[in-house]
Amino acid sequence: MKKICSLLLVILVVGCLSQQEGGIQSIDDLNGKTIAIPGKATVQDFLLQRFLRDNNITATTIIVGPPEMIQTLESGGIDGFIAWEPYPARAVVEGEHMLLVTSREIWPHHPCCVLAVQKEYLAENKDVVLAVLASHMRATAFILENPQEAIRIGVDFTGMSEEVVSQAVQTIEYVYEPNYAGIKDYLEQLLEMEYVSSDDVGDMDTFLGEFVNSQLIEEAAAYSCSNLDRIVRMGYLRADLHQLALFVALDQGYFEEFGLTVELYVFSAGPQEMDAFGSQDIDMGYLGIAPATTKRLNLGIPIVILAGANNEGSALVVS
Amino acid sequence: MITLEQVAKTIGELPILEAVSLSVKKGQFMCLVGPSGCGKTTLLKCIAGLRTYEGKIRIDGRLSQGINPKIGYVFQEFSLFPFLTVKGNMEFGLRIQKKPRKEMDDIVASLLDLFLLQGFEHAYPHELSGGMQKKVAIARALATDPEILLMDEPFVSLDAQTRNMLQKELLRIWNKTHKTILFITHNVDEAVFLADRVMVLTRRPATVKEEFLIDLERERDRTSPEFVSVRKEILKELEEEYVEQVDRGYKGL
Amino acid sequence: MRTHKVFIVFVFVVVWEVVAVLANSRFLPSPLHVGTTFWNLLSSGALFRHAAVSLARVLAGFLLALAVGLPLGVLMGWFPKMENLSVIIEMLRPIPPLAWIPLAMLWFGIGFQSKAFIIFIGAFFPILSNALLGVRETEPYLVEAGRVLGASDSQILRNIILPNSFPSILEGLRIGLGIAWMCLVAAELTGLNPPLGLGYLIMEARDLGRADTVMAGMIAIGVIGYAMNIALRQLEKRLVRWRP
Ligand SMILES: Nc1ncnc2c1ncn2[C@@H]1O[C@H](COP(=O)(O)OP(=O)(O)OP(=O)(O)O)[C@@H](O)[C@H]1O
Ligand SMILES: [Mg+2]
Repeated sequence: MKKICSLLLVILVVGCLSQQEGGIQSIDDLNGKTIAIPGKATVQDFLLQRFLRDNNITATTIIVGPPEMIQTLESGGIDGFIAWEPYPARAVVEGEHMLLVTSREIWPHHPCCVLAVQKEYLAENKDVVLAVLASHMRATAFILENPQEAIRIGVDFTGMSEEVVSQAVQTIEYVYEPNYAGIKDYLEQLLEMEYVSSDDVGDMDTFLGEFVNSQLIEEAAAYSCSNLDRIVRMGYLRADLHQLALFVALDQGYFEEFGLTVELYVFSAGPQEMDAFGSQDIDMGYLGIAPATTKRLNLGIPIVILAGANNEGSALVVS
Repeated sequence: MITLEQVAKTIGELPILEAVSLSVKKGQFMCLVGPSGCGKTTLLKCIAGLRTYEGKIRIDGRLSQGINPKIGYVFQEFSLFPFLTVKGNMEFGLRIQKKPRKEMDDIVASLLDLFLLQGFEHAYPHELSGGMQKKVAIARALATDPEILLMDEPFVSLDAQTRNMLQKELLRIWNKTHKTILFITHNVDEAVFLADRVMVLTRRPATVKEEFLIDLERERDRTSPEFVSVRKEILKELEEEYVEQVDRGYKGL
Repeated sequence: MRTHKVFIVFVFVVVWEVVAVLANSRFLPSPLHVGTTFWNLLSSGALFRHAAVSLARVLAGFLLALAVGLPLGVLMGWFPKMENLSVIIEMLRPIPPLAWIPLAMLWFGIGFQSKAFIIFIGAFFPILSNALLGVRETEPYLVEAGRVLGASDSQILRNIILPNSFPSILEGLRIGLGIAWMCLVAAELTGLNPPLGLGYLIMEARDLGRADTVMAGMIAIGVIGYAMNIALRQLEKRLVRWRP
């Protein structure tokens, strides 16, 4: 009995002490540290693994919801985190933490968030999909042409300060063309990481040809209509500036011009949004390419990628 | 020797005991009978020091204060400690007194003999019959060798045969140990069979109504004319109390 | 009896297999598939590591709940004045342990203490109330029986109240452990360091879209919870032989 008690005590003490300390100045200091990601198989998980591998570093990755990341960093629970903007910018501006590396440095022009649609929904509601796509493209162009106005919308959307948002958008490349080559690169590495299996992929180009639809972009550019009178259920991630186009389109009334009502569904990370696709609770959605690919393959959730939303735009922050 | 002088007790607004005076001589067997709910248990608990009261209670001439080691108590309920064996129950008081192991074992062994409980020392209360449980409860009270035994309807809720047998056993033990016994019952037959004296209590608030000296030879015969006639007299007294209770009950309606 | 149970499990698995085959969906993997995944997790040692970490968290929180809840419950049952504390207890009790997660993360971060705290909250109330109940429901004549035999207050508490409340206390431990186990898994679903534990295993598998691993993790949780319950029941049987 005594032995058991002392053993338990040891477990308790070791458990309490196991939270290590120590600041990080350079990339090498990351060795053995604990870094938070928004979810397994997210773009950030993917980027971090690539970064650690390229620099030959081993670190523990744990999962923390982006809204809790800064707080967890400050309480010492983690040594750093990688997240979508504007969380890194916020940590730097408001918390005086250090931006160790941006995702541009890890992999230039890497694809990130995309616009996806339920396959069946696309087949039955092509006009709605085209309207959404057209709005998305218009909004993306708007962001590039009116950065100041876009920042204002970003502030409303994320609830963060103008300083944070304007710093954050600098690291994001807003695009709408689906980045086919980049997506292929992802898939190869997902296979390598054993997140997905080659049995499910089959022939890579055949799979990607079906998964990524690049033609609709062209069709959407010429699409016009004003009285769709439809509702589309749209998923997005909480305070993810990558998905600013959605909020610009809402703010500027682009959807309304098509007679389209957008019902919004918010998620804390891409894998959760994929589950909503799986249960058919959303028709379309903005989410990271990594969870979209992983769950498209592992659970066979039938979605199609229609457009890119951004490249780059994540960063690794340390305290 | 127990002496009560003008003992009274009220619980809240409710008077339970009123001016109870009586005395039990050393080695005497006294029975208290009274209508149910009249306050018999309350009286016995006052004597044991488990209740506060007004008036005076003396044990061997000394004013009683709190628990008195000279007193053993047998509860109306099945009150054995369910988590202790027969032996554990019998030993409880001895352990409190920090008696040496050897002495405890001797006492328990003799109690097992006295109560014909050999072989059951390691049984738990739930494994015993009702009659055996009552016997163990009496043995537990006797273990610390108190001079006085207060017994609150110890044989109630037992069948007639067991009850008669235990009555005889109790008398046998009383003969052997010469304890002073104050025994509550509302069974008049039992009272006449056991007691030297029987006190009849009134309905609540209880006070002494009548005293009977039972001057019959021991090894009493329940069917003898003397036995039957004493029993009748006591019953009459007792029934008066019930009738009044009922009358009052109706008037109160 | 045992063969009956085995048979029921067998029927359950067969029904599952049939439904899985009919559904033919990745959302519902077949028992064979899940079994293989379970075996792989087991033989690689991964399952053991996750389970060990989870168990350590549960034990720490549970023992803390025991150390605080049991004495407090006994004191509240014994001293009438302490009972007034129940105002606070009764207001805290209905709050689901999981509602404490945001505060636990604020106060204790995402490490060991934070999870142990959630477990503590979960296990505390059943342990406390069962101890309280056991003490309060001790028949007054047992206490009086002790008194007339000369026992002091502390002897009555130690030698009568505590042993008599023991079944109730054990029941509280069993319920507390069950709740602790459930809370743990839920607590492991959010911010967690180190990234180990059965709840984490499930969350990770969810992110990766691996329903088979999710189910394997669920089975592990069920089996361990079941085993803990059985173990405590056996313990109860051995320690409380005096009960009919
Ligand atoms: N703690 C208490 N609070 C209020 N009333 C009480 C309390 N204890 C006893 N009484 C009342 O006092 C009266 C006498 O109770 P007591 O148990 O002494 O009667 P009794 O003569 O032993 O009855 P019985 O023959 O049923 O054993 C009863 O009317 C009972 O309701
Ligand atoms: Mg009574």
